[in-house]
Amino acid sequence: MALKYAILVTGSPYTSQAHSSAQRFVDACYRQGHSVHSVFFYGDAVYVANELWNPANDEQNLQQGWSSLASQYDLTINACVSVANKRGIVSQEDAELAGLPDHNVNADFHIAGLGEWVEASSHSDRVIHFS
Amino acid sequence: MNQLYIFTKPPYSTDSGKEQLDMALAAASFDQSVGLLFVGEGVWQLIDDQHPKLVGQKEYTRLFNGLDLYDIEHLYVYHKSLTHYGLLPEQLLRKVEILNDAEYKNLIERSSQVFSL
Repeated sequence: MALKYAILVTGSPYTSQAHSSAQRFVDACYRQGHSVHSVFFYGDAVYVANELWNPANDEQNLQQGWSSLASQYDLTINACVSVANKRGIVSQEDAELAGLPDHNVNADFHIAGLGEWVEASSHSDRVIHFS
Repeated sequence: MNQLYIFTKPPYSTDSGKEQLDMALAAASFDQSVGLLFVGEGVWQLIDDQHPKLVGQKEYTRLFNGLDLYDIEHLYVYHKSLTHYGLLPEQLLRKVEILNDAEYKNLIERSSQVFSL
């Protein structure tokens, strides 16, 4: 039976394996005929949406990993607005509202409220949390 | 949907307790049935008479007293976590349901989604 998964990621991209494992899980889901409702980044996981990421060429780029999955599977990747703003991950719209000098959210990521996560978790067969 | 949020970390040393509470409140305000369970160091979330302002933090744990507004009625504490820290139910900031081993196991088993940030 094909299942629909909601993915929650809360681990930091730098000090946890959460993003790497979640990306492999999402890819495996689709390869096995399942699907993913959406991915929701919460807590320190939102750092992955900062478009100013500039890792060395020979290092793993987790942000690019999410962008590739988003385009390959037409997958929605959401970062929580309140925890992102708190951590300096700010969309153009929120930067203008708050009078900040700049914004820094990668265009492949959506800035969303917790309501999006509630919707995802309540409309999926399984919820998987990567911390 | 019957959701259980398990608090395992103390308040104020990290943001995870507040962020998990925010998630639970969001779920409750979208009509999910929400319960909160406090285990291990998580029981310190419920200790009465905390003064986080002294270290420049907002006192979010007060919100545990106003959960009726969000239709969150069930707060559970695992009995061994209280005894482990030598705490009594009277030291908590509100009335909670204290669970024995069987009730603890049963609560997790009958929840359709379980979260622990």
